[in-house]
Amino acid sequence: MDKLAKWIIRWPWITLGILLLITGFFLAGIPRLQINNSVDSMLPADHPARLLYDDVNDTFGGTDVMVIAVHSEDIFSETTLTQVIELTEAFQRLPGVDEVVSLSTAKRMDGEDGNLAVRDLMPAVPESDQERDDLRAYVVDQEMYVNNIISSDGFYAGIVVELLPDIDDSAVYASLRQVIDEQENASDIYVAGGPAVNAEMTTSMKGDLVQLIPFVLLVLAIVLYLSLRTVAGVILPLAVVLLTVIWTAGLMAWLGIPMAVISTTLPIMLIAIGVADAIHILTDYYAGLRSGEEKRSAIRTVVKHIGLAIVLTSITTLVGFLSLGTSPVQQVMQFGLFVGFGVMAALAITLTLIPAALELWGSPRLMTRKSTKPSFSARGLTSLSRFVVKQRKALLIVGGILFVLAAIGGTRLAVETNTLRFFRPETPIRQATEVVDLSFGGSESLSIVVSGDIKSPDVLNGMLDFQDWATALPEVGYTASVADYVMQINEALHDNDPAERVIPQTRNAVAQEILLYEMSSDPSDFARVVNYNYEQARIVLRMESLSSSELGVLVQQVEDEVTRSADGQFDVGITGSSYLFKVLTDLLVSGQILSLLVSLLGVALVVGLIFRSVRYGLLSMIPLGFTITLNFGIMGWLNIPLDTATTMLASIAIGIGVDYTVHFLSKYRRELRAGRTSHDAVGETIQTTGRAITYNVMAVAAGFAVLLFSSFGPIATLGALVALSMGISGLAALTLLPAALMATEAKQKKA
Amino acid sequence: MKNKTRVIWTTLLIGVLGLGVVGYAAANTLTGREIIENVDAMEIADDAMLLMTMTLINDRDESLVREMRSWKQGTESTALLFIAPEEVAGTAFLTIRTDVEDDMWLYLPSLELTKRIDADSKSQSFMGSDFTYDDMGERDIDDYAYTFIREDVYEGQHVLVVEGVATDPEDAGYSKVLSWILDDVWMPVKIEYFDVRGDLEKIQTNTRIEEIDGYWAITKMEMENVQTNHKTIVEMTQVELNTGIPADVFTSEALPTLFDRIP
Repeated sequence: MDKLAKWIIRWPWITLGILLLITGFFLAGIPRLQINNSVDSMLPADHPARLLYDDVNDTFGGTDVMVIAVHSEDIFSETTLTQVIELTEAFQRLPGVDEVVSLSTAKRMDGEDGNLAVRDLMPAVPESDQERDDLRAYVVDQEMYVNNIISSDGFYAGIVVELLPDIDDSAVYASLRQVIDEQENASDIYVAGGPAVNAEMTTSMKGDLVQLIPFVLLVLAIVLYLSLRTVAGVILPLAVVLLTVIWTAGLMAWLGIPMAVISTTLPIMLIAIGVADAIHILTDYYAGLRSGEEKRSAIRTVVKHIGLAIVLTSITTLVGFLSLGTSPVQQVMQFGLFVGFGVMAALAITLTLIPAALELWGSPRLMTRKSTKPSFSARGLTSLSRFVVKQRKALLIVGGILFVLAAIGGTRLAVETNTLRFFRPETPIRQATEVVDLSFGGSESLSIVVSGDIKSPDVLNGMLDFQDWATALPEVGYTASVADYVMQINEALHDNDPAERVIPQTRNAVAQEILLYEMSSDPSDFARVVNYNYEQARIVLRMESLSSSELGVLVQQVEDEVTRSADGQFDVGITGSSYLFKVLTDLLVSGQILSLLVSLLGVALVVGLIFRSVRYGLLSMIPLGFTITLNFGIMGWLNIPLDTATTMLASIAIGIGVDYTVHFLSKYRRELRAGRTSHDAVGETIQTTGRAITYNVMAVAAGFAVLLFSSFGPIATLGALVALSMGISGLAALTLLPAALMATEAKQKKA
Repeated sequence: MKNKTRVIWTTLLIGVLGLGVVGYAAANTLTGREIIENVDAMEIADDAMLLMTMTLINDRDESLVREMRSWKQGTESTALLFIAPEEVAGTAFLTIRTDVEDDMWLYLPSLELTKRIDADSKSQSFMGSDFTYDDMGERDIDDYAYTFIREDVYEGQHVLVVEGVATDPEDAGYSKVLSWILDDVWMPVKIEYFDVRGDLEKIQTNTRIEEIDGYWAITKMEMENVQTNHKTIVEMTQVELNTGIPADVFTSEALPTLFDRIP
């Protein structure tokens, strides 16, 4: 370590040059960075839900739909119908769009006086009032069309856009949005559905982070300046953070690994991690200068002492994040690995950039002022150290009570993701979803896959039974299957007799009616609802936007009912991107809890090995465990659910919290070895390392508090919780950890 | 509109009778239009009885096979009977083309129901296949403006390539049709269809062309939709020409009895 410091002090420009070269290499990759926000790609490829989803996409085409609602006082007016035709054609031309269903693509079957007419529902815009009334009368009578291509209240025309499988939702949504925004009545056109929500979420998340991160950095800079009171103390930590982010993003780009929604929090993590190392080095460096040490020797001392400590903290942080590698969700796993890389990059940059820059910087002016009066922060830390030593038992008791309270709160913690509530009520996507949910009965889709002899009347009637049951559910607005088509044909074949809107009695009759329909359509018409050999059919179910736990309940209900309707005649499976999202949420959370345990134990093990002490290892779990428990406890008591965003928080808490612990332990042990008593060592550590920890907490917490101004729910919550957990973590490291150290030290002495 | 449905049921026979799907003709001295007129002028049989197999293949290489028997008189009347698979056996269609309008009838044996059908079928799929009624039928020669492109060799045979540009793409269902025509027998061996947007949509290959009782006939053809990767193969397994089919076969009343009329 000392050799490194010496070399850097001798060749500062070369050091900076090398850093610059590496940074240039990573920077060059960044334009290649891809973004992938699809939910299905996040699930493990062999997960049953993913397998079924892929299979359904493969068999029936894309399962993800967007519902576009066009508001009009009279949807059968010439203006609206013309617009529906134009929009439909425009959407059909968009890349990534598989199929568009609307008044202008639907079919019409009529039977009268022994004639059967099969034609387009609307070959052209009706010209006379009579034609319009005829069209209206037909459409409102068709169960397959109401709540699909027209709303039940009759004030909205629906255009259902089905996306190709494995397509970038955001790109399709953006191009579709563009078509709509060009319309004169754009404000009367609403876009809802999973892909739209997903796309808006990605945009909001990225947009907010891009807008807010500069403010985070600004606040960080201000706090850094107030703490360290030098320009170098602001610029160097920020430079470390910046380079770390570039290196990590560049590595992802060069490896061709796309950014996912989860990785958008990567810069946040790296800011918190990168700044910590720098603060510790600078705090100690200035302390050295203040105590009269010469600049070069101060740099070398700091690199020797703190350098070792930050190598240790980096290893423990790495262990903390590598535990994410146990996640069943591939992107979380990758995320863990890249944060791990970021941790190591931050270490390398801190240990090279800072000494080199300090060497070149010249002597800090502010630090040369010799003040006989201890500063405010110094006085605060002194009284804190006295308080901790004196009240160590009370601290442990209070800590214990808080821990229990938090643990109770933790049991109230709900696992729940409500994607829509991520958006504020006034946002267009939320309003659009409300409009579509209200007027069409739902904007999200589920696919129920039926396997059996689809042409059998029993199977078709079973499907219809289930559909009737489902339509009666308050959450469900619309269902459709091949059975609806068969009923439609049967009715038309019997001179439009409503009593004949049933499935015919024999299998051959079904087969012949389907053949008749095929005659008058193209092969792809049925491909969306039934497979080639009529062994698998899909029931499309459209429902309101639900939270993940509500969806879980609904899916369970659906599964029970459809199994009952099947009555052994057919097998069923349920899928859909909203359902995948629910599965993903559950996996993320359960995976996260496992990761947490692994990282807690891993950190304890590493700390134990580093200090060659079982006691230190066990003690290191106290501030970490306390922080995480308190975090979850507060979330539980405040009814903040554990969702895809907030589960990531615990990783940050461990990753950064462990730093405080390791720095504290490392300094404490140095003091003990210097011959101090346990109490004195605690006092000294709180006053020195405690300063760096306090600065660190303040800088990161204040920086993250900025995220509270995000318009996007999860980001605001994440900001608040990171700020909170930094505070708890710092406080625990400065109070509970020393209290526990003293308590165990005392016991050892007695023994 | 009527014009479109009119030859639907003559369709499967057209190849057989040597009409050619879109008339094309050739000799490097001829114009595109003249080539087409040559194809159009091929002599046809008075009537025909066919046994044919239609195989539908989707993009997952799954296939459905249907067997049909058809009776055809001139270019006016066609009766078509499904004989396999069993579930649709007996289902029958009748198309009668008159100067005034086209009549189309359907019989569903399971419901014992005969229906007159009124459908705008022009560019729609024929029996769920990749052939539209028009692909199978006789296009109006005037729907396209023809240009002779080049002489070529197609699978060892001398062909003339003719391009037909639709005068009204929306109406014709295609923007352009490119045909490879054998200039000795005036039969197309390959046809490429371009959709209304101008992109290649389908490729038809007439894989078996033979002479039967002095008439040139396409007895096996394939249509591949390159956009959906769906494919249809139609094969004539039995062809009998000029047997003197009684006129009453081509009535709606005869549809339920077609099974008994299979020779």
